[in-house]
Amino acid sequence: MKHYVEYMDSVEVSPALHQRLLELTAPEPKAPWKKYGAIAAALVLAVGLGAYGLGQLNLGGVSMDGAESGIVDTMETGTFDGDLAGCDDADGDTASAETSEPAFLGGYEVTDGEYAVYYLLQVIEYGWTDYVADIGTPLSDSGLERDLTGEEIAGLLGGEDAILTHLDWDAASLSGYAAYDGDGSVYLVELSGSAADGSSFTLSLSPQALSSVTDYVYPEAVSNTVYGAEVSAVAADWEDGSTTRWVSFQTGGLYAGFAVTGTDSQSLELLTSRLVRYLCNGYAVDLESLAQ
Amino acid sequence: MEQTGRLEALVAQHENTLFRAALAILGDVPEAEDAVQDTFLRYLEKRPEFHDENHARAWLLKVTANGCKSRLRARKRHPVEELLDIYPAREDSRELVEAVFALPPNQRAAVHLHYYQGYTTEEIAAILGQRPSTVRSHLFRARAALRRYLTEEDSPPSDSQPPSGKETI
Repeated sequence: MKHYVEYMDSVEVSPALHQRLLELTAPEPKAPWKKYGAIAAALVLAVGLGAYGLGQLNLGGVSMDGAESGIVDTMETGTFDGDLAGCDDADGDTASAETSEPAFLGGYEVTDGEYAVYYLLQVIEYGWTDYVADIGTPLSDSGLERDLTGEEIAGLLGGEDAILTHLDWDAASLSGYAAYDGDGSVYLVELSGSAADGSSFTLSLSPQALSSVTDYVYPEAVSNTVYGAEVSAVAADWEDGSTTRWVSFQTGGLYAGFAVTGTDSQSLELLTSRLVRYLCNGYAVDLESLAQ
Repeated sequence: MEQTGRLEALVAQHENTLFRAALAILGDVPEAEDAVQDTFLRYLEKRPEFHDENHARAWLLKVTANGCKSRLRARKRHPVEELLDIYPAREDSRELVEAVFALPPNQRAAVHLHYYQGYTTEEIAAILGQRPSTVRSHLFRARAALRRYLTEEDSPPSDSQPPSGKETI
C-alpha cells in the first residue's frame, strides 16, 4: 500500500478551501423546540382495554431526574489509545430493570366511532451515557440501495393513520432508504423524520442483527422487558439543552434500533414507548414487502 | 480572538488529514471539501476540549466519517477518473488507486484509516461507529480485492482475524 500512501500524501486541500475553513464562524444556536402537547394521563376506557387489566395498573412510573446536566459532547477526555468510546465497562454488563409487574408512564387514546381504546405505554428505564456515538450504519457492500417513496414508508408502518395515531409522527416528514443483499432481499431499512413535538428521529430495521441496529447497546444500557421483548435503552443529554433516547430490541424476526432527539425528555420517552409498543405488541412490519 | 486562533491551529494541523479521509470515503472532491467544512463547523458549534492532538484528530475524523455517511446516500456517484483528473496519480500508482476507489465505501474507509492513518481495528471501529469485527471483515474483504497490489509489508493488522471458515491471505 506504499503507493496508496504516496498518492494520499500528494493530496492537499485547495487554497480556496483552506481560506473557506479559516473564515468559518460558529452557527447560530437552534430555535427552542415546541413543547409536546397534553399527555393523556387520565384513564378513559370504553372498550378494548388491551393486554393489562385495570387491577394490574401501576402508574408510578420512573423518575426522570436521573439526567446529568452539562455533559460535554466530546469523544473522550483521555489519550486516544483505542478508548475513544469512553466506555469503561469492558465487560459490557448491562443493568436490568425487570420488575415483576410492568409500570406505565401514560398512554394515548384512539377513537373509532363510538368506541375508544386506550393504549397503555410501559415505562422504559434508561441508562445514562456521556459518550456520543452516531450509530454506524453499515453501507451495503452490494451497493444496492434505493430511496423509499412516502407510500412505501407508510405501507411499511401500517398506513399514514397508524403512523399519526400510534406513533405520533409527522408522516409527511418521513424519508428513508432500503439496502439490499445481492439476491434482492432487504438487508436494512432506515427511516428518519420528525414527531409532532418537533423532535427528530431515526429508525433502523433489519432481519439481521446488524451492527448499525444493535450498536445502540452501550455498556451503560439498561435492559427492559417490554411486551415480551428485551429492550436495551440508553439516554444522553447534550450541551445545547437537547437530549436523546436510544433503544434497540428484537421482535419476531425483526431487529430494530430507534434514536430520538429533542428537548422534552418526557415527550421523547413517550414517543419511544409508543414505538416499542407498536412494533412489539401492535403491528408486524414486513420488510420483505420491499424486496426486489 | 482566542477562538479564531484555535480554529486556525486546528485547520492548519488537520485539514489535510480530514480531506484525505473524506476523499477516501466519498471519492469526490467537492463533496469531500464540503464534508471537511461541515466538520469544522461542528467543531465551532460543539467546542469540545481536546486532551491532546491524538484526541483532536480522532474526534475530527469521527465527525468527518459520520458526515460522509449521509453524503454517500444522497450523492450521485462520480467515476474515479474525475478524481484522478484533479489529483493525478503517478503511472506506477494509478492502478492501485483505481482499485482502492473501486472498493465499496465501508472498505475504503477501513483501508484508508488503517493503511494511511495507521489506526488499529479497534480505533477504526471507534471512529466509524462500528464493531471491531465489522472493521476486520471490511479489511479482510478489501485485502482480498487488492491482493495483487499488496506486499509482505502490508501484512494484516495484528488484531485482525478473517471470518471463520475463510483462509488467511
